[in-house]
Amino acid sequence: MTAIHAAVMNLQAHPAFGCDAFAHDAQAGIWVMADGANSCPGAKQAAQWVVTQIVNVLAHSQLLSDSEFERSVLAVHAQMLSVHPQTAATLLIGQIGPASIRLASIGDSMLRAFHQPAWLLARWREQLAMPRDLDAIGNPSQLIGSEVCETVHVRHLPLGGRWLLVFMTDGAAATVTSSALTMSLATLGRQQPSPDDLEYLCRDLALQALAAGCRDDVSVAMVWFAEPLR
Amino acid sequence: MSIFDFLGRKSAQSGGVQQLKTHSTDDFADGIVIELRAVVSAAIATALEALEGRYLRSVLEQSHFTLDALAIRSLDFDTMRQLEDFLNRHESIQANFRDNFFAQIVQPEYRSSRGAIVKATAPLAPLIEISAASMESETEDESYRISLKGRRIRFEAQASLGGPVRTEAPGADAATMMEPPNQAVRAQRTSQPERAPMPGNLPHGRSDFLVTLRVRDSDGERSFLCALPVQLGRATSAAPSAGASGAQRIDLRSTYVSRQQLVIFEVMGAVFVMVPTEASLSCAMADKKVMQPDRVYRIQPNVPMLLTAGVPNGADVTGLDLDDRGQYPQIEIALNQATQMEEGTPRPRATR
Repeated sequence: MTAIHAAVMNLQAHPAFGCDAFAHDAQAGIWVMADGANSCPGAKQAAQWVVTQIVNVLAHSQLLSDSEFERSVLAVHAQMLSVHPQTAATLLIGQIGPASIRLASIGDSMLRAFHQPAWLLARWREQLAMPRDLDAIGNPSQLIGSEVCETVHVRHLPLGGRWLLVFMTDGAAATVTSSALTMSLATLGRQQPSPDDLEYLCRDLALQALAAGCRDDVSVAMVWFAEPLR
Repeated sequence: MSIFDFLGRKSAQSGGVQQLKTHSTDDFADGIVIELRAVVSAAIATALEALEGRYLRSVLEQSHFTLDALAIRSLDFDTMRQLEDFLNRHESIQANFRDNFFAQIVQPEYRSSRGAIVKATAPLAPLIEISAASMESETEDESYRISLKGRRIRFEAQASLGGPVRTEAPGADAATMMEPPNQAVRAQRTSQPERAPMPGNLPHGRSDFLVTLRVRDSDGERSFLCALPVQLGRATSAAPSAGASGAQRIDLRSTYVSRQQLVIFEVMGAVFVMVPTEASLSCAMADKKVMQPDRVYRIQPNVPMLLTAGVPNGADVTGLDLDDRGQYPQIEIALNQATQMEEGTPRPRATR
Protein backbone atom coordinates (compact mmCIF):
# COMPACT_ATOMS: atom_id res chain seq x y z
CA MET A 1 0.00 0.00 0.00
CA THR A 2 1.40 3.37 -1.02
CA ALA A 3 0.25 6.14 1.30
CA ILE A 4 0.98 9.84 0.90
CA HIS A 5 -0.25 12.55 3.20
CA ALA A 6 -0.01 16.29 3.83
CA ALA A 7 -1.53 18.68 6.34
CA VAL A 8 -1.93 22.43 6.50
CA MET A 9 -2.61 23.32 10.09
CA ASN A 10 -3.97 26.37 11.90
CA LEU A 11 -4.11 28.62 8.87
CA GLN A 12 -5.23 31.70 10.73
CA ALA A 13 -3.22 34.77 11.50
CA HIS A 14 -4.06 35.02 15.17
CA PRO A 15 -1.64 32.92 17.23
CA ALA A 16 -4.22 32.45 19.97
CA PHE A 17 -6.34 30.39 17.59
CA GLY A 18 -3.88 27.62 16.81
CA CYS A 19 -5.80 24.83 18.52
CA ASP A 20 -5.67 22.12 15.84
CA ALA A 21 -3.18 19.27 15.85
CA PHE A 22 -2.25 16.45 13.50
CA ALA A 23 -0.16 13.37 14.08
CA HIS A 24 0.55 10.24 12.11
CA ASP A 25 2.52 7.06 11.90
CA ALA A 26 2.64 6.35 8.19
CA GLN A 27 4.40 3.01 8.75
CA ALA A 28 1.59 1.84 10.97
CA GLY A 29 -0.99 3.43 8.66
CA ILE A 30 -2.66 5.80 11.11
CA TRP A 31 -3.47 9.50 10.77
CA VAL A 32 -5.14 11.56 13.51
CA MET A 33 -6.46 15.13 13.66
CA ALA A 34 -7.88 16.96 16.69
CA ASP A 35 -9.37 20.40 17.17
CA GLY A 36 -9.10 21.72 20.73
CA ALA A 37 -12.17 23.56 21.99
CA ASN A 38 -11.13 27.19 21.52
CA SER A 39 -13.17 28.43 24.43
CA CYS A 40 -11.14 26.36 26.91
CA PRO A 41 -7.73 27.26 28.31
CA GLY A 42 -4.95 24.94 27.15
CA ALA A 43 -6.90 23.73 24.12
CA LYS A 44 -3.80 23.80 21.93
CA GLN A 45 -1.75 21.64 24.28
CA ALA A 46 -4.67 19.27 24.80
CA ALA A 47 -5.13 18.77 21.06
CA GLN A 48 -1.43 18.05 20.59
CA TRP A 49 -1.50 15.67 23.54
CA VAL A 50 -4.52 13.73 22.33
CA VAL A 51 -3.29 13.17 18.75
CA THR A 52 0.07 11.93 20.06
CA GLN A 53 -1.62 9.62 22.56
CA ILE A 54 -4.02 8.20 20.00
CA VAL A 55 -1.21 7.48 17.53
CA ASN A 56 0.86 5.81 20.25
CA VAL A 57 -2.02 3.73 21.54
CA LEU A 58 -3.48 2.72 18.18
CA ALA A 59 -0.35 2.44 16.02
CA HIS A 60 -0.38 -1.33 16.20
CA SER A 61 -4.06 -1.94 16.72
CA GLN A 62 -5.11 -2.75 13.16
CA LEU A 63 -6.27 -6.19 14.28
CA LEU A 64 -8.40 -4.91 17.14
CA SER A 65 -12.13 -5.41 16.87
CA ASP A 66 -14.26 -2.28 16.74
CA SER A 67 -15.31 -2.65 20.36
CA GLU A 68 -11.66 -3.02 21.46
CA PHE A 69 -10.74 -0.06 19.29
CA GLU A 70 -13.53 2.00 20.87
CA ARG A 71 -12.39 0.98 24.36
CA SER A 72 -8.84 2.12 23.52
CA VAL A 73 -10.09 5.53 22.39
CA LEU A 74 -12.29 5.91 25.46
CA ALA A 75 -9.30 5.00 27.63
CA VAL A 76 -7.44 7.96 26.12
CA HIS A 77 -10.54 10.06 26.82
CA ALA A 78 -10.48 8.99 30.48
CA GLN A 79 -6.78 9.82 30.67
CA MET A 80 -7.42 13.22 29.09
CA LEU A 81 -10.01 14.05 31.74
CA SER A 82 -7.29 13.87 34.36
CA VAL A 83 -4.38 15.30 32.32
CA HIS A 84 -6.33 18.17 30.68
CA PRO A 85 -9.44 18.50 32.85
CA GLN A 86 -10.50 21.95 31.64
CA THR A 87 -10.59 21.31 27.92
CA ALA A 88 -11.76 18.99 25.18
CA ALA A 89 -11.17 18.27 21.51
CA THR A 90 -12.69 16.78 18.42
CA LEU A 91 -11.04 13.66 17.07
CA LEU A 92 -10.70 12.15 13.59
CA ILE A 93 -8.86 8.90 12.91
CA GLY A 94 -7.99 7.18 9.65
CA GLN A 95 -6.38 3.76 9.93
CA ILE A 96 -5.40 1.34 7.18
CA GLY A 97 -5.76 -2.27 8.25
CA PRO A 98 -4.98 -5.53 6.49
CA ALA A 99 -8.58 -6.03 5.38
CA SER A 100 -10.20 -2.61 5.50
CA ILE A 101 -9.82 1.08 6.19
CA ARG A 102 -11.13 2.04 9.61
CA LEU A 103 -12.39 5.60 10.13
CA ALA A 104 -13.39 7.01 13.50
CA SER A 105 -14.72 10.35 14.69
CA ILE A 106 -15.80 12.21 17.81
CA GLY A 107 -17.14 15.74 17.71
CA ASP A 108 -17.91 18.14 14.90
CA SER A 109 -14.78 17.97 12.74
CA MET A 110 -15.25 16.43 9.32
CA LEU A 111 -13.71 13.34 7.76
CA ARG A 112 -14.72 12.45 4.22
CA ALA A 113 -13.55 9.52 2.14
CA PHE A 114 -13.34 9.61 -1.65
CA HIS A 115 -12.70 6.57 -3.81
CA GLN A 116 -11.55 5.95 -7.36
CA PRO A 117 -11.83 2.35 -8.57
CA ALA A 118 -8.79 0.82 -10.24
CA TRP A 119 -10.40 0.36 -13.65
CA LEU A 120 -9.68 2.81 -16.40
CA LEU A 121 -11.83 5.93 -16.74
CA ALA A 122 -13.19 5.45 -13.22
CA ARG A 123 -14.03 8.71 -11.50
CA TRP A 124 -13.56 9.88 -7.96
CA ARG A 125 -16.71 9.51 -5.89
CA GLU A 126 -17.49 10.37 -2.31
CA GLN A 127 -17.84 7.09 -0.49
CA LEU A 128 -18.42 8.18 3.08
CA ALA A 129 -18.75 11.20 5.33
CA MET A 130 -18.24 10.43 8.99
CA PRO A 131 -21.06 11.49 11.37
CA ARG A 132 -20.61 14.85 13.06
CA ASP A 133 -21.81 15.33 16.63
CA LEU A 134 -23.73 18.61 16.55
CA ASP A 135 -26.42 19.83 18.91
CA ALA A 136 -29.49 21.85 17.99
CA ILE A 137 -27.60 25.15 17.88
CA GLY A 138 -24.59 23.92 15.97
CA ASN A 139 -22.18 23.29 18.85
CA PRO A 140 -20.48 19.92 19.32
CA SER A 141 -22.65 17.58 21.37
CA GLN A 142 -19.68 15.45 22.44
CA LEU A 143 -15.89 15.84 22.45
CA ILE A 144 -13.05 13.71 23.65
CA GLY A 145 -11.96 14.97 27.07
CA SER A 146 -15.30 16.66 27.82
CA GLU A 147 -18.03 15.66 30.24
CA VAL A 148 -19.86 14.14 27.30
CA CYS A 149 -18.01 11.52 25.26
CA GLU A 150 -20.14 8.46 24.84
CA THR A 151 -19.86 7.27 21.26
CA VAL A 152 -16.87 6.68 19.04
CA HIS A 153 -18.24 6.58 15.51
CA VAL A 154 -16.45 3.82 13.62
CA ARG A 155 -16.88 2.94 9.95
CA HIS A 156 -15.07 0.58 7.59
CA LEU A 157 -14.24 0.93 3.92
CA PRO A 158 -12.96 -1.79 1.61
CA LEU A 159 -9.42 -1.73 0.30
CA GLY A 160 -8.73 -1.52 -3.42
CA GLY A 161 -8.43 1.30 -5.93
CA ARG A 162 -7.37 4.74 -4.79
CA TRP A 163 -8.60 6.50 -1.70
CA LEU A 164 -8.41 10.07 -0.55
CA LEU A 165 -9.28 10.87 3.05
CA VAL A 166 -9.95 14.55 3.72
CA PHE A 167 -9.72 15.71 7.35
CA MET A 168 -11.13 19.14 8.15
CA THR A 169 -11.68 20.93 11.43
CA ASP A 170 -15.11 22.48 11.97
CA GLY A 171 -14.09 25.92 10.70
CA ALA A 172 -13.08 24.54 7.32
CA ALA A 173 -15.87 21.96 7.30
CA ALA A 174 -18.50 24.69 7.58
CA THR A 175 -17.13 26.76 4.72
CA VAL A 176 -15.39 24.43 2.24
CA THR A 177 -17.91 23.33 -0.33
CA SER A 178 -18.41 20.05 -2.13
CA SER A 179 -17.60 21.75 -5.43
CA ALA A 180 -14.23 22.86 -4.04
CA LEU A 181 -13.50 19.29 -3.02
CA THR A 182 -14.57 18.07 -6.45
CA MET A 183 -12.09 20.48 -8.03
CA SER A 184 -9.34 19.08 -5.82
CA LEU A 185 -10.18 15.55 -6.91
CA ALA A 186 -10.24 16.61 -10.54
CA THR A 187 -6.74 18.01 -10.08
CA LEU A 188 -5.55 14.65 -8.79
CA GLY A 189 -7.14 12.70 -11.61
CA ARG A 190 -5.65 9.24 -11.88
CA GLN A 191 -2.13 10.31 -11.03
CA GLN A 192 -0.18 9.58 -7.89
CA PRO A 193 0.28 12.88 -6.07
CA SER A 194 3.39 13.93 -4.22
CA PRO A 195 3.20 15.27 -0.65
CA ASP A 196 3.69 18.73 -2.21
CA ASP A 197 0.64 18.22 -4.42
CA LEU A 198 -1.47 17.29 -1.44
CA GLU A 199 -0.13 20.20 0.56
CA TYR A 200 -1.08 22.52 -2.29
CA LEU A 201 -4.60 21.10 -2.33
CA CYS A 202 -4.93 21.33 1.46
CA ARG A 203 -3.73 24.92 1.46
CA ASP A 204 -6.04 25.78 -1.42
CA LEU A 205 -9.07 24.45 0.46
CA ALA A 206 -7.99 26.20 3.66
CA LEU A 207 -7.56 29.51 1.80
CA GLN A 208 -11.00 29.10 0.30
CA ALA A 209 -12.40 28.59 3.80
CA LEU A 210 -10.73 31.79 5.00
CA ALA A 211 -11.89 33.69 1.92
CA ALA A 212 -15.43 32.49 2.63
CA GLY A 213 -15.26 34.21 6.01
CA CYS A 214 -14.21 31.44 8.38
CA ARG A 215 -13.09 33.04 11.66
CA ASP A 216 -11.90 29.88 13.31
CA ASP A 217 -8.48 28.35 12.77
CA VAL A 218 -8.53 26.34 9.58
CA SER A 219 -6.84 22.97 9.21
CA VAL A 220 -7.05 20.54 6.33
CA ALA A 221 -5.21 17.25 5.93
CA MET A 222 -5.31 14.72 3.14
CA VAL A 223 -4.23 11.10 2.99
CA TRP A 224 -4.01 9.47 -0.43
CA PHE A 225 -3.37 5.78 -0.73
CA ALA A 226 -3.53 3.08 -3.33
CA GLU A 227 -2.66 -0.55 -3.62
CA PRO A 228 0.50 -1.13 -5.66
CA LEU A 229 0.12 -2.33 -9.23
CA ARG A 230 0.45 -6.09 -9.59
CA MET B 1 41.87 62.67 -24.17
CA SER B 2 42.46 59.45 -26.06
CA ILE B 3 43.03 59.22 -29.78
CA PHE B 4 39.58 57.59 -30.12
CA ASP B 5 37.86 60.50 -28.38
CA PHE B 6 39.73 62.90 -30.62
CA LEU B 7 38.74 61.04 -33.79
CA GLY B 8 35.18 60.66 -32.61
CA ARG B 9 34.88 64.38 -31.89
CA LYS B 10 36.46 65.20 -35.21
CA SER B 11 34.00 63.08 -37.21
CA ALA B 12 31.02 64.37 -35.22
CA GLN B 13 32.02 67.97 -35.73
CA SER B 14 32.51 67.36 -39.42
CA GLY B 15 28.83 66.32 -39.67
CA GLY B 16 27.73 69.39 -37.75
CA VAL B 17 26.56 67.27 -34.80
CA GLN B 18 28.26 67.37 -31.45
CA GLN B 19 28.22 64.11 -29.49
CA LEU B 20 28.03 64.62 -25.77
CA LYS B 21 30.01 62.25 -23.66
CA THR B 22 27.65 60.48 -21.26
CA HIS B 23 28.42 60.07 -17.60
CA SER B 24 30.15 56.87 -16.62
CA THR B 25 27.28 55.83 -14.31
CA ASP B 26 24.88 55.88 -17.26
CA ASP B 27 27.24 53.63 -19.21
CA PHE B 28 27.33 51.37 -16.22
CA ALA B 29 23.54 51.30 -15.93
CA ASP B 30 23.10 50.54 -19.63
CA GLY B 31 25.54 47.69 -19.33
CA ILE B 32 24.17 46.03 -16.26
CA VAL B 33 20.45 46.18 -16.97
CA ILE B 34 20.64 43.48 -19.62
CA GLU B 35 23.13 41.46 -17.64
CA LEU B 36 21.03 41.64 -14.49
CA ARG B 37 17.92 40.63 -16.41
CA ALA B 38 19.72 37.56 -17.73
CA VAL B 39 21.13 36.67 -14.33
CA VAL B 40 17.74 37.09 -12.62
CA SER B 41 15.99 35.00 -15.29
CA ALA B 42 18.57 32.26 -14.88
CA ALA B 43 18.19 32.33 -11.10
CA ILE B 44 14.39 32.09 -11.32
CA ALA B 45 14.67 29.28 -13.87
CA THR B 46 16.99 27.37 -11.54
CA ALA B 47 14.65 27.82 -8.58
CA LEU B 48 11.67 26.84 -10.70
CA GLU B 49 13.34 23.70 -12.01
CA ALA B 50 14.03 22.62 -8.47
CA LEU B 51 10.38 23.07 -7.51
CA GLU B 52 8.19 22.24 -10.48
CA GLY B 53 9.20 18.58 -10.63
CA ARG B 54 7.55 18.04 -7.28
CA TYR B 55 4.09 18.89 -8.60
CA LEU B 56 1.65 17.30 -10.98
CA ARG B 57 1.23 19.07 -14.28
CA SER B 58 -2.45 19.59 -13.41
CA VAL B 59 -1.39 21.51 -10.30
CA LEU B 60 1.07 23.63 -12.28
CA GLU B 61 -1.60 24.45 -14.87
CA GLN B 62 -3.97 25.95 -12.30
CA SER B 63 -1.45 27.68 -10.08
CA HIS B 64 1.63 29.86 -10.03
CA PHE B 65 4.67 30.34 -7.86
CA THR B 66 5.40 33.67 -6.27
CA LEU B 67 8.76 35.37 -6.37
CA ASP B 68 9.32 35.92 -2.66
CA ALA B 69 12.92 37.10 -2.58
CA LEU B 70 15.78 37.81 -4.91
CA ALA B 71 19.41 38.25 -3.97
CA ILE B 72 21.96 39.66 -6.39
CA ARG B 73 25.63 39.30 -5.64
CA SER B 74 28.41 41.14 -7.42
CA LEU B 75 31.33 38.85 -8.10
CA ASP B 76 34.26 41.22 -8.11
CA PHE B 77 35.29 44.25 -6.17
CA ASP B 78 35.09 46.75 -9.04
CA THR B 79 31.54 45.78 -9.91
CA MET B 80 30.49 45.81 -6.30
CA ARG B 81 31.86 49.32 -5.81
CA GLN B 82 30.39 50.61 -9.06
CA LEU B 83 26.95 49.18 -8.26
CA GLU B 84 26.92 50.65 -4.78
CA ASP B 85 28.09 54.05 -6.08
CA PHE B 86 25.50 53.95 -8.81
CA LEU B 87 22.61 53.10 -6.49
CA ASN B 88 23.67 55.49 -3.73
CA ARG B 89 24.24 58.39 -6.13
CA HIS B 90 20.81 58.03 -7.68
CA GLU B 91 19.06 57.37 -4.39
CA SER B 92 20.40 60.66 -3.07
CA ILE B 93 18.45 62.35 -5.86
CA GLN B 94 15.44 60.06 -6.16
CA ALA B 95 14.38 58.29 -2.98
CA ASN B 96 12.68 55.34 -4.66
CA PHE B 97 15.28 54.96 -7.40
CA ARG B 98 16.21 51.46 -6.30
CA ASP B 99 12.61 50.23 -6.73
CA ASN B 100 12.27 51.85 -10.12
CA PHE B 101 15.60 50.52 -11.33
CA PHE B 102 14.89 46.94 -10.31
CA ALA B 103 11.33 47.16 -11.63
CA GLN B 104 12.83 47.07 -15.12
CA ILE B 105 15.05 44.14 -14.18
CA VAL B 106 12.37 41.83 -12.78
CA GLN B 107 9.73 40.78 -15.29
CA PRO B 108 6.13 40.43 -14.08
CA GLU B 109 5.95 36.78 -15.16
CA TYR B 110 8.28 33.92 -16.01
CA ARG B 111 7.27 30.58 -17.54
CA SER B 112 8.96 27.22 -17.78
CA SER B 113 8.65 24.75 -20.64
CA ARG B 114 6.64 22.43 -18.33
CA GLY B 115 3.99 25.09 -17.84
CA ALA B 116 5.01 26.41 -14.45
CA ILE B 117 4.58 30.13 -13.92
CA VAL B 118 6.38 32.50 -11.58
CA LYS B 119 4.72 35.81 -10.85
CA ALA B 120 6.36 38.79 -9.25
CA THR B 121 3.20 40.23 -7.77
CA ALA B 122 4.51 43.19 -5.80
CA PRO B 123 7.39 45.55 -6.59
CA LEU B 124 10.35 43.55 -5.39
CA ALA B 125 13.60 45.22 -4.41
CA PRO B 126 16.31 42.58 -4.64
CA LEU B 127 18.74 42.17 -1.82
CA ILE B 128 22.16 43.32 -2.95
CA GLU B 129 24.70 41.08 -1.33
CA ILE B 130 28.37 41.78 -1.01
CA SER B 131 30.21 38.51 -1.17
CA ALA B 132 33.24 38.13 1.06
CA ALA B 133 35.21 36.80 -1.90
CA SER B 134 34.79 40.03 -3.80
CA MET B 135 36.40 41.95 -0.94
CA GLU B 136 39.61 39.95 -1.17
CA SER B 137 42.54 41.44 -3.00
CA GLU B 138 43.06 39.20 -5.98
CA THR B 139 45.68 38.77 -8.62
CA GLU B 140 45.13 40.23 -12.06
CA ASP B 141 44.17 36.80 -13.42
CA GLU B 142 41.50 36.08 -10.84
CA SER B 143 40.05 39.56 -10.44
CA TYR B 144 36.91 38.62 -12.33
CA ARG B 145 35.20 35.59 -13.80
CA ILE B 146 34.53 34.99 -17.47
CA SER B 147 32.06 32.76 -19.28
CA LEU B 148 33.19 29.95 -21.60
CA LYS B 149 32.91 32.34 -24.52
CA GLY B 150 34.96 34.98 -22.80
CA ARG B 151 32.23 37.29 -21.46
CA ARG B 152 32.98 38.83 -18.11
CA ILE B 153 30.53 37.58 -15.47
CA ARG B 154 29.85 40.34 -12.98
CA PHE B 155 26.80 39.13 -11.06
CA GLU B 156 25.10 36.05 -9.79
CA ALA B 157 21.58 35.86 -8.41
CA GLN B 158 19.52 33.58 -6.24
CA ALA B 159 15.73 33.49 -6.28
CA SER B 160 13.39 32.21 -3.59
CA LEU B 161 9.95 31.09 -4.71
CA GLY B 162 6.79 30.63 -2.70
CA GLY B 163 3.60 28.76 -3.43
CA PRO B 164 2.22 27.40 -5.60
CA VAL B 165 -1.05 29.27 -5.15
CA ARG B 166 -4.17 28.95 -7.27
CA THR B 167 -4.00 31.45 -10.12
CA GLU B 168 -7.56 32.67 -9.75
CA ALA B 169 -7.85 34.22 -6.34
CA PRO B 170 -9.25 31.71 -3.89
CA GLY B 171 -12.76 32.62 -2.94
CA ALA B 172 -13.20 34.82 -5.99
CA ASP B 173 -16.31 32.87 -6.77
CA ALA B 174 -16.95 31.97 -3.16
CA ALA B 175 -20.41 33.51 -3.29
CA THR B 176 -21.53 31.04 -5.91
CA MET B 177 -19.68 28.14 -4.35
CA MET B 178 -20.93 28.72 -0.84
CA GLU B 179 -23.43 26.26 0.49
CA PRO B 180 -26.21 27.72 2.64
CA PRO B 181 -25.17 27.88 6.26
CA ASN B 182 -26.34 25.30 8.70
CA GLN B 183 -29.92 26.05 9.71
CA ALA B 184 -29.17 25.37 13.33
CA VAL B 185 -26.35 27.90 13.35
CA ARG B 186 -28.53 30.41 11.58
CA ALA B 187 -31.17 30.00 14.26
CA GLN B 188 -28.61 30.74 16.93
CA ARG B 189 -27.47 33.89 15.20
CA THR B 190 -30.98 35.29 15.01
CA SER B 191 -31.57 34.60 18.67
CA GLN B 192 -28.84 37.04 19.74
CA PRO B 193 -30.00 39.55 22.35
CA GLU B 194 -30.94 43.02 21.25
CA ARG B 195 -28.13 45.50 21.49
CA ALA B 196 -28.47 48.33 23.93
CA PRO B 197 -29.11 51.69 22.27
CA MET B 198 -25.82 53.47 21.71
CA PRO B 199 -25.21 57.18 21.72
CA GLY B 200 -24.39 58.96 18.52
CA ASN B 201 -23.95 57.52 15.07
CA LEU B 202 -21.82 54.42 15.07
CA PRO B 203 -19.15 54.23 12.41
CA HIS B 204 -19.29 51.54 9.75
CA GLY B 205 -16.93 48.65 10.33
CA ARG B 206 -17.79 48.29 14.00
CA SER B 207 -17.03 44.82 15.25
CA ASP B 208 -19.82 42.26 15.52
CA PHE B 209 -18.37 41.20 18.84
CA LEU B 210 -20.40 42.08 21.90
CA VAL B 211 -19.27 42.44 25.48
CA THR B 212 -21.36 42.76 28.59
CA LEU B 213 -20.05 45.52 30.87
CA ARG B 214 -21.08 45.90 34.47
CA VAL B 215 -19.93 49.21 35.94
CA ARG B 216 -20.06 49.98 39.67
CA ASP B 217 -19.22 53.58 40.57
CA SER B 218 -20.62 56.43 42.67
CA ASP B 219 -23.83 56.26 40.62
CA GLY B 220 -24.39 52.63 41.58
CA GLU B 221 -24.37 49.60 39.32
CA ARG B 222 -25.15 49.73 35.60
CA SER B 223 -24.96 47.11 32.82
CA PHE B 224 -24.27 47.63 29.13
CA LEU B 225 -24.27 45.35 26.12
CA CYS B 226 -21.74 46.97 23.79
CA ALA B 227 -20.34 46.42 20.32
CA LEU B 228 -16.59 46.89 20.25
CA PRO B 229 -14.55 49.05 20.43
CA VAL B 230 -15.56 50.64 23.72
CA GLN B 231 -13.82 53.41 25.65
CA LEU B 232 -14.41 54.01 29.35
CA GLY B 233 -13.35 57.10 31.27
CA ARG B 234 -14.23 60.11 33.38
CA ALA B 235 -17.25 62.05 32.21
CA THR B 236 -16.06 65.53 31.24
CA SER B 237 -16.84 67.87 28.40
CA ALA B 238 -13.19 67.63 27.30
CA ALA B 239 -13.30 63.87 26.91
CA PRO B 240 -13.13 62.70 23.32
CA SER B 241 -16.51 62.02 21.80
CA ALA B 242 -17.62 58.63 20.57
CA GLY B 243 -17.58 59.81 16.98
CA ALA B 244 -14.04 61.17 17.21
CA SER B 245 -12.43 57.97 18.44
CA GLY B 246 -14.82 55.61 16.68
CA ALA B 247 -15.49 53.86 19.97
CA GLN B 248 -18.62 53.72 22.04
CA ARG B 249 -18.07 55.85 25.13
CA ILE B 250 -19.10 54.86 28.66
CA ASP B 251 -18.67 57.38 31.44
CA LEU B 252 -17.35 56.43 34.87
CA ARG B 253 -18.20 58.56 37.91
CA SER B 254 -15.80 58.19 40.81
CA THR B 255 -13.12 60.29 42.46
CA TYR B 256 -10.17 58.58 40.81
CA VAL B 257 -10.59 57.88 37.12
CA SER B 258 -8.83 59.11 33.98
CA ARG B 259 -10.62 60.60 31.03
CA GLN B 260 -9.38 57.79 28.77
CA GLN B 261 -9.19 55.06 31.38
CA LEU B 262 -9.72 51.88 29.40
CA VAL B 263 -10.22 50.70 25.83
CA ILE B 264 -11.81 47.37 24.89
CA PHE B 265 -11.35 46.17 21.34
CA GLU B 266 -11.38 43.09 19.13
CA VAL B 267 -8.56 41.87 16.90
CA MET B 268 -8.95 38.79 14.71
CA GLY B 269 -11.64 37.29 16.86
CA ALA B 270 -10.01 37.88 20.24
CA VAL B 271 -11.07 40.61 22.67
CA PHE B 272 -8.48 42.71 24.47
CA VAL B 273 -8.38 45.55 27.01
CA MET B 274 -5.74 48.24 27.28
CA VAL B 275 -5.00 51.29 29.42
CA PRO B 276 -3.94 54.00 26.92
CA THR B 277 -0.71 55.90 27.56
CA GLU B 278 -2.79 59.08 27.82
CA ALA B 279 -4.35 57.77 31.05
CA SER B 280 -2.65 59.14 34.15
CA LEU B 281 -4.19 56.37 36.27
CA SER B 282 -4.31 52.65 35.60
CA CYS B 283 -6.52 49.68 36.52
CA ALA B 284 -5.95 46.88 39.00
CA MET B 285 -6.88 43.35 38.02
CA ALA B 286 -8.56 40.81 40.28
CA ASP B 287 -5.17 39.56 41.51
CA LYS B 288 -4.27 43.17 42.52
CA LYS B 289 -1.73 43.49 39.71
CA VAL B 290 -1.74 46.91 38.08
CA MET B 291 -2.16 46.98 34.30
CA GLN B 292 0.77 48.47 32.42
CA PRO B 293 -0.12 51.37 30.11
CA ASP B 294 -0.22 50.54 26.41
CA ARG B 295 -0.07 46.80 27.04
CA VAL B 296 -2.92 44.60 25.81
CA TYR B 297 -4.58 42.00 28.01
CA ARG B 298 -6.79 39.33 26.50
CA ILE B 299 -10.22 38.59 27.90
CA GLN B 300 -10.60 34.83 28.06
CA PRO B 301 -13.91 33.34 27.02
CA ASN B 302 -16.03 32.16 29.95
CA VAL B 303 -13.80 34.11 32.38
CA PRO B 304 -15.11 37.63 33.06
CA MET B 305 -12.38 40.19 33.72
CA LEU B 306 -12.79 42.29 36.87
CA LEU B 307 -10.93 45.61 36.96
CA THR B 308 -10.76 48.41 39.50
CA ALA B 309 -10.02 51.70 37.78
CA GLY B 310 -8.26 54.79 39.08
CA VAL B 311 -5.26 53.17 40.76
CA PRO B 312 -1.86 54.86 40.41
CA ASN B 313 0.42 53.61 37.66
CA GLY B 314 3.03 51.11 38.81
CA ALA B 315 2.07 51.48 42.47
CA ASP B 316 1.31 48.90 45.11
CA VAL B 317 -2.46 48.83 45.63
CA THR B 318 -2.47 46.89 48.89
CA GLY B 319 -2.93 50.05 50.96
CA LEU B 320 -5.83 51.38 48.91
CA ASP B 321 -9.47 50.89 49.74
CA LEU B 322 -10.43 49.43 46.38
CA ASP B 323 -13.89 48.47 47.63
CA ASP B 324 -14.89 52.13 47.88
CA ARG B 325 -16.85 52.64 44.65
CA GLY B 326 -17.07 56.38 45.28
CA GLN B 327 -13.31 56.55 44.84
CA TYR B 328 -12.47 53.60 42.57
CA PRO B 329 -14.98 52.41 39.96
CA GLN B 330 -15.18 48.71 39.25
CA ILE B 331 -15.61 47.33 35.73
CA GLU B 332 -16.60 43.76 34.96
CA ILE B 333 -16.13 42.70 31.33
CA ALA B 334 -17.61 39.48 29.99
CA LEU B 335 -17.74 38.23 26.44
CA ASN B 336 -21.27 37.92 25.23
CA GLN B 337 -22.58 34.38 24.65
CA ALA B 338 -22.86 35.02 20.92
CA THR B 339 -19.27 36.24 20.87
CA GLN B 340 -18.10 33.08 22.55
CA MET B 341 -20.06 31.05 20.04
CA GLU B 342 -18.22 32.86 17.25
CA GLU B 343 -14.87 32.61 18.92
CA GLY B 344 -14.52 29.01 19.75
CA THR B 345 -15.85 25.59 20.28
CA PRO B 346 -17.54 25.26 23.68
CA ARG B 347 -16.86 22.24 25.86
CA PRO B 348 -19.98 20.06 25.97
CA ARG B 349 -21.41 19.59 29.45
CA ALA B 350 -23.55 16.78 30.76
CA THR B 351 -27.19 17.72 31.36
CA ARG B 352 -28.40 16.40 34.66
